[in-house]
Amino acid sequence: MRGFNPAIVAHLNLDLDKIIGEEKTQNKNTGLLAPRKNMMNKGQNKIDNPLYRVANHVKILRDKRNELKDA
Amino acid sequence: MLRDQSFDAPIPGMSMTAELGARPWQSPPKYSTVDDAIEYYLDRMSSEEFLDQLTDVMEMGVPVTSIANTMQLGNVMEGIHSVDVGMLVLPVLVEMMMLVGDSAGIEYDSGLSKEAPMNEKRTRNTLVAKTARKLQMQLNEQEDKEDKPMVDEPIEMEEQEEMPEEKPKGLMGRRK
Repeated sequence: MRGFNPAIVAHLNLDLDKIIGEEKTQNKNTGLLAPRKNMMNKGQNKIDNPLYRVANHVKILRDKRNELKDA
Repeated sequence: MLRDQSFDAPIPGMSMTAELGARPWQSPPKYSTVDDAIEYYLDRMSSEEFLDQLTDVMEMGVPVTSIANTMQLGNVMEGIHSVDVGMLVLPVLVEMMMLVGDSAGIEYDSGLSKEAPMNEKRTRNTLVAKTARKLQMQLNEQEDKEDKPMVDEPIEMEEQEEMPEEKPKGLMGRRK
């Protein structure tokens, strides 16, 4: 039994698919009175989230590792 | 023994004996964002010396997660980055080290599986191999040193015995 190591928890809980995910396509309303911005995501961008940036870094490294394994 | 060990622990209020801000972790960290911290680590990890040491430690069977945690904890204590940035950086460190291990072609313990795959015998074998490699390198160095003076020293020519001049014996030979 290993002692508590936050690296294990952090690595295992990093769900790349969930964090990076796919860009949501917004259904644009074409009406004159339709809101121009999505108020739910007001001022929030994925790139501002540190976890998203970390996940991107991890994804790049993991892809590289998979390339090495496949070769 | 147990009583002796209990005295090693810090006494209550010990943290207040130093002035506030005197410790590195009490002052603002050098790198406050995740990106800066990742850049710092990647720079450090790309040096040849670090890579050699890292592969040696990984080959000895130390789990990658333990190395990553020790690294980030040390940098928190030195005031390089904060604890929360360290936690966020951990997966990148683990992944980076595993990439180093894979590209070096060594067998390592990621520390992510519940069972420890590297047993004691494997570690001992690695240590023996490492010691043998070091000895071989020392032997090679010694051989190089022994070979070098032979090249550097001027080659002493053996004194050739002067051959006695043959006196011309013919009728037309010069007589001095």
